[in-house]
Amino acid sequence: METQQQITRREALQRVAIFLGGTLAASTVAGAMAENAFAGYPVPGTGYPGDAWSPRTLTADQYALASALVEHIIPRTDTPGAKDAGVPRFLDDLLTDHYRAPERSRVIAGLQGVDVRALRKHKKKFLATTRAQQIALLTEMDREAYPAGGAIAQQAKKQEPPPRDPQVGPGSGGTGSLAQPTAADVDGATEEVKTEIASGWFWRRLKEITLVGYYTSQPGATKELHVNPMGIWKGDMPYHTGDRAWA
Amino acid sequence: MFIHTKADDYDAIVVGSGISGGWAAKELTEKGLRVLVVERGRNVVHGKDYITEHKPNWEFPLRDRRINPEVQGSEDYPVQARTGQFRESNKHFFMKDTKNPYEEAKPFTWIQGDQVGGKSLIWGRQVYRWSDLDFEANAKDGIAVDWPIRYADIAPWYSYVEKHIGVSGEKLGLPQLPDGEFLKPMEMNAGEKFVKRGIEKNIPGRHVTIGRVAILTENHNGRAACHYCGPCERGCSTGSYFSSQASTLPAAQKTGRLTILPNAVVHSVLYDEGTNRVIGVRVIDANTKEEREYHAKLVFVNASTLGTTRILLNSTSPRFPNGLANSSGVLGQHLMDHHFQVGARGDIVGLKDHYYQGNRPNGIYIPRFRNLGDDRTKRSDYIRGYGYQGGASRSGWGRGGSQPGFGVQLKRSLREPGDWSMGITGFAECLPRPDNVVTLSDRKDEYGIPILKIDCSWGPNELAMRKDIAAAAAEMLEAAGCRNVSTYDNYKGDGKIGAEPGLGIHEMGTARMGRDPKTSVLNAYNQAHDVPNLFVTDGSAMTSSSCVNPSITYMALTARACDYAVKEMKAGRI
Repeated sequence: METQQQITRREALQRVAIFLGGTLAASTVAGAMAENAFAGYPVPGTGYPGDAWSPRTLTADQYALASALVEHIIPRTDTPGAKDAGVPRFLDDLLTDHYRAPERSRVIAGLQGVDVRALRKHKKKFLATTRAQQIALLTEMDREAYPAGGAIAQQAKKQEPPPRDPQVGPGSGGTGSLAQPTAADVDGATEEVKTEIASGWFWRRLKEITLVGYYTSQPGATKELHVNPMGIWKGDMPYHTGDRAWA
Repeated sequence: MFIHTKADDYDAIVVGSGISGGWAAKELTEKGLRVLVVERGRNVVHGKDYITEHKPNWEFPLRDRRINPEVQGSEDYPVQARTGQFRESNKHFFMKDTKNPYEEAKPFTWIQGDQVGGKSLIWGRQVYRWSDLDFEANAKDGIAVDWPIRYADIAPWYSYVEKHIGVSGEKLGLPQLPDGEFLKPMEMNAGEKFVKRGIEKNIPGRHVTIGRVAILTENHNGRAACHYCGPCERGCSTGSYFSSQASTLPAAQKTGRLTILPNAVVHSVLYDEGTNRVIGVRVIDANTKEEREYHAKLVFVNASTLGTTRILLNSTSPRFPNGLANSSGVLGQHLMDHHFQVGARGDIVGLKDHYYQGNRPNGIYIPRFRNLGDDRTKRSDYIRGYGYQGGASRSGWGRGGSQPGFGVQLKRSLREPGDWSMGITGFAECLPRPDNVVTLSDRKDEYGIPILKIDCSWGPNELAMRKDIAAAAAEMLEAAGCRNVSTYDNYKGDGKIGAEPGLGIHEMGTARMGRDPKTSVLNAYNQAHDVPNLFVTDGSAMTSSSCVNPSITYMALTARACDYAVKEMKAGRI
């Protein structure tokens, strides 16, 4: 299976120029390639297999668990899967750079809840269970998170994260004691973890994050789906079953 | 410290380089004036400074995520982050709220772009002419004051502006939405065509048309036709949508008579009581905080509705203790915005063999059909009206988050586009009210300029109209054959922020035009009643709000006012 190569800015722009069928002026490319104000951002494309990178919010165990979960949601088939597409890193980036403390804490509690479920059922943490056991457990979580009858929208609304504290800024959050559940917690089920197990919120949110992380990644957008090319607007064109959707 | 040299003298000063300021710069320089454009923000060079243009999503660490006030990254932008326009890819085109704080007596979202080009870089680009239904509305309803102009006064200026900027759209021949000088319209997709057919067949008198946009569908005036990359708001190197950078500033620059001064915050407009003329502006350097004066024979204030109002309120003198050109006392009153975020959506069954290609930066428009002046369209529960903007699409991979399932099956199902759906949201008129008002606070910003205090809310007419907007939206989608139609209204009230004023980013009316100097700030040519060489041609000049997007009217009023101002100068009256 291929390893995703890091795409360079130049390659991206060359592709853009191809999309435009040559209508993009040379000066435009030059302009768009000029040094920009994003120097402070992490280098895009890292976090794929083989890159030296480690999670900033998740512990190694949580990262391994999250990686397995997202791969279950979007597995590698004849096209790349969630891990190939760097979704685990995207999750850690979101938790570190985007979420504020309460929401971050809920996601981590949800991760812990997966292990709690596995321990209750199989006396083993999730990653130590068999693939069949994993799928069965996630199927159960999925059923609980998406009750029949199309009630999801309402359900989801009710289970929105609690009001966030606007005073919490970057760096002031962190995962707190939840990052390391103590053995004293019997099976690690703190009140927050129990709440997350019951809510279904975590599984729906993780699915959402996985889909965004996967389909907006280069592998997801170009290998699984395809990028809507620039250059033309066709308002009404034929679609044949099996044609891939635009990313 | 006041630095002033003769070399700083210009024929005209334009405060602001956004949609209306850029037009003032173009018109005045082309008529032979040496013009200084003073801009409080940084310079943005066309092309070079569109740093996120054509970047694929995966090059953004958070994949071009919406930055809302509840997440990290919004710390410097607690207000700007309230608009859905504020994203990872374009936050650099919004003003940091820390640089221009203001007080909200009630929730009012003040969206600002402090850079050369202003909000013209990030605007919605929808352009609709006003009609006499709008210009006569106040007089007929006995509300506020009468507009001092009618459609016939501004129609040729709409044409003049449209020919320069390029507007694509479809002619409809409707009196409430006059046609313009259109480039060929963008195509509707199959879902939109389906809804259009259903609505127009089943509800006589309703029209569904493609949005009229300041985006080129053909090469025009040296600018390239749209290449449908999608996110215009990142900037467009090919100049395919109207911005000051793409359209007006290059024209002004071509004359050799334009000077742009970025990073210069206007503190006040200088007034000479002896001659009853404004003589220039006091400016504070955004970086060094040094004060300077620039002098000119003519001043156009185009700092955006609230920016302009703040400058005028802060320009006090013994003759104008309550703000420049404010003998009427109405400066700051009658703040308006369009109310929206209310409408309906529905599923479209079938059309599975239809899709589309490219990213059309435009949607559909349903022109106003209420209170058109006849009995058939008259409502008893509110006056004025609204239109809808919206569109249809096939659902994408995002649908997977709200349905059960995971694994290979989910992945396979998301490989194909999903079902069609259609959504429409109302854009509605707001009445001018004296108690929707901005004043100067006792607090000052880092430049020593008093900050604004904004007190604005929707009134009973707006709230009554919203009920009908939702109901009529659902009725139309159902008439079109949509299924599972549901309505929504984001308005919250009670001091919460949902669809509260400001989010339409169409703030207007705080230095209104009118016939009577006792009840208005500006005359029929956007000239201050009190001071002949002072003009205001941004949204603050608006006497009522119509329900259509206002920017092209600012452009037309600006071109018209410049024509008048230069004639008056030549005649020696300014």
